[in-house]
Amino acid sequence: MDNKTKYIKELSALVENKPTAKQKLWLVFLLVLIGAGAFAFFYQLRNGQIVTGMRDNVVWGIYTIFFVVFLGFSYAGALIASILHLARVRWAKPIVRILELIAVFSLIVGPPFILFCLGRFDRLLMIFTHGRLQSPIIWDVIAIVSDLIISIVFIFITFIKDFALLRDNTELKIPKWRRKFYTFFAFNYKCTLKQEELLNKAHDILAAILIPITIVAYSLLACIFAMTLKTGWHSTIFAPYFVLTAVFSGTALVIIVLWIVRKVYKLHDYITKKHFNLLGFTMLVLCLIYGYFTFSEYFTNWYGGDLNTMMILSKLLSFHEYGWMMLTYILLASVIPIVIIGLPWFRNVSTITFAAFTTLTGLILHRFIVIIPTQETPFLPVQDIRPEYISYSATWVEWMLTLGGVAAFLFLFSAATKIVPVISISEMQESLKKKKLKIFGTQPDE
Amino acid sequence: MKIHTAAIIRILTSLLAIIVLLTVSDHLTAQEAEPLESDLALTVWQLGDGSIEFNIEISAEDASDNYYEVSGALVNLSQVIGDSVQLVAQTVTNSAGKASLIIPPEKTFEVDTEGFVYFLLSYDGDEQFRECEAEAGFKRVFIDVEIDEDEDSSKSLYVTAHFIDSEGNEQPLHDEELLFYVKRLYSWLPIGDIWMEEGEGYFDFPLDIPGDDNGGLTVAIRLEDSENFASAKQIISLNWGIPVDYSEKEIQRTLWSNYAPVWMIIALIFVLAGVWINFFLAIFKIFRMSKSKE
Repeated sequence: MDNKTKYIKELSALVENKPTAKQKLWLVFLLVLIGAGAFAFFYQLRNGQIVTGMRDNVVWGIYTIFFVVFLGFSYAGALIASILHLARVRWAKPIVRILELIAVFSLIVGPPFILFCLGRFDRLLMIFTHGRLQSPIIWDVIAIVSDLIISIVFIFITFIKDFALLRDNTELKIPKWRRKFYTFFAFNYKCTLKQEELLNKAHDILAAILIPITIVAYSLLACIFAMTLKTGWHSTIFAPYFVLTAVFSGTALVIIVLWIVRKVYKLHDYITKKHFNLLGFTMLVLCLIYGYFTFSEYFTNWYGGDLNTMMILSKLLSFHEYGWMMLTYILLASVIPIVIIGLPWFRNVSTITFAAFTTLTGLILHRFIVIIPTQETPFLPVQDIRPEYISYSATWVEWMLTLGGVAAFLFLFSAATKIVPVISISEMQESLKKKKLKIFGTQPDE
Repeated sequence: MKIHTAAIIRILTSLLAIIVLLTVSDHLTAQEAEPLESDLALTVWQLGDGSIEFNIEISAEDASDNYYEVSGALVNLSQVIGDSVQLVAQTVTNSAGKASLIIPPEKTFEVDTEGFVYFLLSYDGDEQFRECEAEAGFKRVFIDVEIDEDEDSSKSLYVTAHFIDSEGNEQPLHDEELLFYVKRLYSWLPIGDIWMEEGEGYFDFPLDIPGDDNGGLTVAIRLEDSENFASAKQIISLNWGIPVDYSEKEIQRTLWSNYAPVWMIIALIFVLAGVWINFFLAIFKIFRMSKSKE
């Protein structure tokens, strides 16, 4: 059996296999969490924002943190997938689909998180009817909507060839509705030269516009913070810092998802140690640049000695406030990945995945450190006010709703891997082609 | 691995039980708890047109110093005449536990032997909060203002004030301090005070206060927290401010400007056009692909 046939047979089987009892239980578990999240949402809707830990000063809490986290995953997924596609990177073929799935599902799950911060849900449509073009929030709304539509179309384009292969695979034992689904979304693709050329062009165009869109969109998200005059947010490097953090956390997430997918679907032949090593090195480089940015941001602020900045920095360094969180985040997102990936003795598939997991956790903590202390340190002196109006502490409603959102992401991803091959069959077949691929009309050195 | 249905049902039931517990916990706590002591804070203003404004705020605190604003509370305003109480009006507190009542000037009240009118504001309480009340007693006072503009460009206000005694006669206000304020964007700016002597007083108005486009100012003359008269105020409009042209500031770049700058609109149109033209180009190629028969 040649590789081409092997790919069709093995990867098509991924959508053919019925879910195991464990997988069914996993999906049911996620549905219960989503249900709990929905309950928390209606509870908050009925009782108002008072059931959350958000008050006069801290108006962006854990919802905003996960909004930033999920949009980071999404933009990172779309950005990396587009770059890998346009650069025709062969070794990355098995991971592109995973990146694309992360991009779309994060972008579906992420934006609702910011809506949970709304005190008046009935005024939601006013964002569109009364939006002010000069407000960074409207820039972000436009960017997210554009990005969502383009990402969904982009991912569908990447599915067309696979859907056509699955449609034409008569040996595949799948329900009728599934075959009709593949037939419909294959858009009459018959793999003719003309069709392939048109499809590849469309794919290239969308990949090319997704790169600036994702960078601009995440920079605009940073603008929501940086364009205020608040100490800790009003920084010139916030936009690139956000984009870098997104790519860093996105890479960590991809490693974790690859490890899970490899284990669950037994894809050791496709997702190899080489992928983990290369992604690990990418993460290491990103970690070093990220560390440089972080140092530059805090050192410059500290050296200036501005009163408000010093108040925030003293909170970050005090073990009675955010000192432990700061230390944990540095340990998880910088020290552990550098030691594990940087030193060859510790480096293997499992440890790289572990480092990715600690990185992801550390970066979520970092978002907390960036978003919360600034709001707890207003410019005006705060006196004679109840402590809960200054210090933020998330309530069970916020945790349950957030958990529901995370479960929704996992559910969408898990369910999607049962409908579309988690590794693109067509991309794998293309990686076998010996001919040189065009990159923007030039011939790359391979 | 086989999963037992009973085990799944047990897990799901447990999760459901936790959710239900969390939902009802608030209600249970509220039902079991004793009603909290509540407090009625009252401020009274005698207004220039003769009406009386009662501002009410009902709040409560529990043992853990948690603060509650008592909303939806029915508050009775009654006049106290000797030992009897006569209901005058009712109101209900809003979501912030606040309510306001304005008694019109045509409503007259019986005064006691010293010329005082007494009012009682009471809240009967409910399952959550205990009853509370507040009392206010004061003599009716009236403040009047006349504008005095001299040829030498000095400007002053001639203020007269009187109160009603036990016989219903007007008596001049004496040895009481009146305070002067000008309305600014967020609050009232104090600009000076005078002491009333035999029911009259002059206030030299400062001429360096910025006003609106025409120099318009809103001025309040207040008698504050008096032992006999509670608080009273008279509000007037004057054109004694320095005219300030605000239209110049409106065209500056601000977040609250009516329109986005032109360069921003043009830039956005270009960026969005660039993105969406390419997007539709890609869609067009997919459409052509689906129709292609080659």
